[in-house]
Amino acid sequence: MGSGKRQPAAGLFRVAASVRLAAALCLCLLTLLPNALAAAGEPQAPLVFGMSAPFTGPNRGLGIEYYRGITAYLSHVNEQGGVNGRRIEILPLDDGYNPEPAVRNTIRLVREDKVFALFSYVGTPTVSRVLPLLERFQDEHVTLLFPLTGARLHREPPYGRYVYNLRASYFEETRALVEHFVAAGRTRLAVLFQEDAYGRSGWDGVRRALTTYNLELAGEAAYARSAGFDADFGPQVRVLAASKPEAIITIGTYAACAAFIRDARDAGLTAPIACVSFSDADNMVKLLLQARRPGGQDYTVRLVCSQVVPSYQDVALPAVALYRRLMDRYAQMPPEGLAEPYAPNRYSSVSLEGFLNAVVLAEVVRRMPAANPRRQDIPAAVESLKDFDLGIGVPLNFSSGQHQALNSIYFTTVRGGVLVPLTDWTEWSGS
Amino acid sequence: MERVVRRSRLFRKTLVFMILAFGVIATVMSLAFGQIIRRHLTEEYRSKATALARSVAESDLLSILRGDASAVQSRIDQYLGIEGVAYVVVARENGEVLAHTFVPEIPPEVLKQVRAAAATPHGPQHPAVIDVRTADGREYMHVMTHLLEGLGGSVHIGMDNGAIRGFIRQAVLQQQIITLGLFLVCTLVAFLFVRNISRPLTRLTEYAGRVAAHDFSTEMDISSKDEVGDLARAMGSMARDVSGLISGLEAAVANATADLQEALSSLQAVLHNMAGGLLVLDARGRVVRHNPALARLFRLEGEEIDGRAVDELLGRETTALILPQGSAPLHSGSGVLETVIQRPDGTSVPVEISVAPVALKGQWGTVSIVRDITERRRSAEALHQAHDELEQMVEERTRELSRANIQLKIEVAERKVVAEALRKAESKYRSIFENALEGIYQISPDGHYISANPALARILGYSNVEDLLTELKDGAGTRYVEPGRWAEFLALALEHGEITDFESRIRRRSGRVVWISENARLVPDSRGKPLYIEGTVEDITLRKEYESQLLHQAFHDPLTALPNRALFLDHLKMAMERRRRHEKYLFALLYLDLDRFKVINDSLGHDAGDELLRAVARTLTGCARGMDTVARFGGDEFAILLEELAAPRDAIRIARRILEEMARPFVLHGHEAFSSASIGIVLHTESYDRPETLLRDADTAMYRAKEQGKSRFKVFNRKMHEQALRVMELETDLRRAVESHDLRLVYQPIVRLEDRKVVAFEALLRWTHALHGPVNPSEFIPLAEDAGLIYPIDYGVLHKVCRTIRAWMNGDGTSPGGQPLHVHLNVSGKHFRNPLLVGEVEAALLDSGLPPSCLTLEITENAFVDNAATATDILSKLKMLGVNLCIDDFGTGYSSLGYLQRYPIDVIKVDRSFVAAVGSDADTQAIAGSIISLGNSLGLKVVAEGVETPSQLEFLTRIGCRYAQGFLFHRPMEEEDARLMLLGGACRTKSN
Repeated sequence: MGSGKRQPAAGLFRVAASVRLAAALCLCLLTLLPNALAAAGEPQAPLVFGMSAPFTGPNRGLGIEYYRGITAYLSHVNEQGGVNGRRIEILPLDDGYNPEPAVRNTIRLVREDKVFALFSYVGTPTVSRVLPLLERFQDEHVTLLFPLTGARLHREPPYGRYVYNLRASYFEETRALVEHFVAAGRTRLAVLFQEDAYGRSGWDGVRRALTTYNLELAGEAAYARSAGFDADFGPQVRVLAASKPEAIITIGTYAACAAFIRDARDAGLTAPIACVSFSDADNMVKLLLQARRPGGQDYTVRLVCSQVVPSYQDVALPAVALYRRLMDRYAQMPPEGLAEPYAPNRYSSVSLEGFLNAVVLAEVVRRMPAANPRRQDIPAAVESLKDFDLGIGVPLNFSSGQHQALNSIYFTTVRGGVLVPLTDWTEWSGS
Repeated sequence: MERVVRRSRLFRKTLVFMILAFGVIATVMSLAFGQIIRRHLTEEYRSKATALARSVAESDLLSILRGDASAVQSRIDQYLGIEGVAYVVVARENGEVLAHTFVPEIPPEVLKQVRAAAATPHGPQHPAVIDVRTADGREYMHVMTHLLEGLGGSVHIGMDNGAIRGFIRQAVLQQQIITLGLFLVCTLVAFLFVRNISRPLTRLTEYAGRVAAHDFSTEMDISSKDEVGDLARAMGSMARDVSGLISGLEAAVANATADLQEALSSLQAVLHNMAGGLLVLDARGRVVRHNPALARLFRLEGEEIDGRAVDELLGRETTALILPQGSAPLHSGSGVLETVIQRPDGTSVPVEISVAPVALKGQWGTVSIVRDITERRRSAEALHQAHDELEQMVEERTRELSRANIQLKIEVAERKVVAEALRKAESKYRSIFENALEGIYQISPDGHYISANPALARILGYSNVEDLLTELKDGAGTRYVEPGRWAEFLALALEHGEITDFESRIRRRSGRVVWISENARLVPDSRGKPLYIEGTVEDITLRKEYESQLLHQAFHDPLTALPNRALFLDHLKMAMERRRRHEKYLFALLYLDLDRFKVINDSLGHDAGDELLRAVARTLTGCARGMDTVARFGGDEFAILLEELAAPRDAIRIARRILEEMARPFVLHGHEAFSSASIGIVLHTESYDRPETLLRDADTAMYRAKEQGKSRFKVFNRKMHEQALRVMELETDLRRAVESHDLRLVYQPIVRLEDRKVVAFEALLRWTHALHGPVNPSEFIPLAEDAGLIYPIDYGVLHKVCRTIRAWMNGDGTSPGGQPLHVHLNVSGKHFRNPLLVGEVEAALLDSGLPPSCLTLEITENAFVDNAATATDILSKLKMLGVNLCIDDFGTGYSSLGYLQRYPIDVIKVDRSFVAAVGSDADTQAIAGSIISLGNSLGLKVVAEGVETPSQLEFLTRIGCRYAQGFLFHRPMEEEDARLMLLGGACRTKSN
């Protein structure tokens, strides 16, 4: 979809890119030229970052919310004159959460649009297929910054060196969930996972976490990635119910998780159901609330959602306060024609994550050479972030050996239809 | 048909052969093809699966060894896109599944293979192929590869056998379509070939068939040079030879046959046309030959006669005459004889038979000609008969003529007698006509008198019939008062033919109007046309007058001549009807009751009462308008229906005027009497369906007016209705309470102030309603009085109290404390209108054994006022029984000190309202003081009621009151408590 229509920003960028290339040449030959340009006071070309995410299909909420969070901060920064006098722009393309379009989008972004870096990709199956391209583009110094996925593949060799992660991994999320459930006396844990790299990654995380307690998975069930909210999760519910789980951890997208929760509750499965950050708790709860029939049961009870960012209700955190303020003011929907219709949430954990991505991105750009930033300057700038205060209460650290900045896991649950932070696990203790 | 069948048989054989052949070919080829494809595809799938497994083994071995499930999953997901791949499972060395592509879980059959692979860890490096069939019916080619000799785990790839089968199905289908095409082409060729061979053969067969049937007319046109052609030609020449021989033979036979035929037919014609029957017999008497005439004679047409024995036909006798005797002829010549023969159907016929012998096949037979001579004999007989009949007819005619002559003479005599009788009857009926009391007339259909009798003349006021006929020659109708009445009469008569009791008013000659009743009937002529109308007239004026008088009496009050309740309800109903039809139509209902009628009636007598009612009726009629209805409902109750009101205030204005008029004095038998009325009004009459309800509500409003102080009017409203409902409901409940003895008694002690001892009790009635809780006596006692329940209640109370008090007493009539014990009992004023009270009191005293002096009956002041006439009598009777009498609530009513003197009173009770006010009001203090000192000075016991505060007690003691009751001392208590109090000697008051 994005490849069919040329974005206005892209056209602008091509002109800007040629100017920038010329400037790079000049740098090689005449080292003084950048200063001369800056001194000339001409407007600096904007830095464009390419983003491939689902803006269509059942998981478009993830991409759109992520994009809204990013644009909320970047619009704010650009309005203030940008960073080092440069605007930071995002070129979003839609992959519909499918690997093939994601690969095509990446090639286009690097080869045709010549973006400065890849930024805020969404999804494990898509990102894990894009990783080999980064290897292929290593001479062009292409980096992927802060994708919305917690899989292992891009945190480890061989591809880990091209990727910088802001968020905690699924292993960490699932480990935290398992720890809490086991501590609460629930040892029969079952997993519902999406039958792809993402789901398998979460499944692996749960399994490994259980191994540390000498426990095994009580049950597991997979579902196809294409499943939306209207899918029937009866077979999965039956398989899991047969294992008599004391808690179920779902590794899936929000629409599928919501459908599973609905069918599980309808089938009388009362065990707590947990989901990870990628399951976009806000959209999931929204679907569950909509699905509730008058007089029917409340699907939002006994849910735990692990998050990799703090609750957006926690306005004591400066970053959250800023987020809420800027979201109301600057959050943008994806460009016309890119996304399918979607009713955005005012605040959500996904948009907060996108927002934090943008904050770190702006800081990275700030730490790069002001006059003539190059792609190969990115790793140094990112890895220079030490004990950086993002405004979320925990410091942020990157290094050449550490490509993941945050490790904290937060929990939320639903009270009266609203996601609230979960700190007290006593009510989840097994009987 | 024959050709088609023959040809298709040949072709069918070919077709069957071809179907079998092609079927075998198709089956064999399908199997072979299927097998080849299966082998190919299976091999291809196996190699594909093997390649994939190797690919996994080589490229992802590291991920598998490290247990990186996500990476492995990412890889195997892509394999699902490869054609034929159904699933991929990657397991570790211990059989633990690292990743798979199943949704939602691995089928147990597949899992078994995975586990099996782990169980044989050092299996072959090259892939093993197993067919797996899952529970849901899918079949897979399961290709398993060990990694690193099983140490690295295993890769399992499932190829969809269903796809292979699909390919095979498709290929077999294609092959079969080709076979079918070939089959159709071959069939067509075979058909053409068979047709080419079989057509000449068929034709040859047909030709042979024709020759066999001696049909040589056609030639064959087969000219082919093959064997079939030669055969055809040989057959053609053979057929021609045969044809010549046959035609020669046939010609010779035909000639001989024609000669014989000629001779035979001429003989046959003679025999057939002979009139006589021909009968040829052989020597044994059997019929050899006969002709149709003989068969006709014996009525045996169409039956077989030849060969029958002749005696069956002619009878034995005749047969003997004509049968040849022996070998010689019977008679030398021929003979003729006449005889009667019997036919087989039973009839007989005379015949003439001529017989001649004939030689027949060497024997002597006979030839007989039989002639029917019936006709000849019959004509001779008919001539004779005709002569006899003529003679007989002449004789009969002569006899008839003489009989008619006698009949005529008798009829002439009878006519004379009838004429005489008619004359007598006519004069009899004329006399009836002339002297009848009823008028009798005949009029023409156009209304003119034809005749009339003197009675009719009298009824119409004429001295004789002639005058009547003369004056009314223009028509009988001029006398009728109502213009169209006469026309109506005529129309009815002509239409129905009869009229009975047709009542109308007519004007007599003098001008006076009288009622007549007519009966008439139409007399038509023989053709049904109206001839005249005859009728009778009766003067029914008297009857009519009586009727209207009765009618008036039925609907009017005889005393005031006002409409009565029935008529009023009728008018009310009509008013309600009008209201329904016209939205704007307003009417109101006034219900009126005289306030002091009883007093006047009792004091001035019934005549004066009647006079008052008449005067009130006049007043009301005067106040009402022309269209209003004023009615008396009996007693002193009146109702007024105000119709066609412009506004509701008109009704109020009229009510006000009535009250004003009623306030004026009435003069009755010389006395001036004052009366007043209370009026209940219903203004909003539109919401009512039934007149009775409307009246009821007016009545309710009237009672409300009376309650509020008489001589006023009250307009009915919703609240009154609800109140009335509540009262009604309460009354029902009260009735039930009385029946089920739910009313109970409590006893309030009366204290002697000087020593504070309980000397008496007042028995009080209590009612606790199941729904509304306790009901105040002031509410339910009036209700009981209105409903007549007061009698059973009071009698019950009387007996009960007497028994109770007696039970409390010692033998000497004192209380357990040694004091004399009194009991006070309230008696409703209603008893003064009922003569039973005295008897009941006496019975209660006798039954219980209570000394009469211990019983004090309390009577309200109003009871005396309302029943002045009877009170004296009843009170003195009670007094004579020995009971005490007490005036209750003294000072509240029309207190008349005279009562104290006139009636034998022993006790007065100072009303609680005075006691309550003594603390605050100097005037009340004075009144209470004077009542008490008056009582004391008259020697009466004075009891103060409702003493509640020490200050009241102090005041009462100070002014000399000796007895008191009230909450200050004791509340009313249950029977058992009162008894215990007496027994315990706790007769002291609880306070000072």
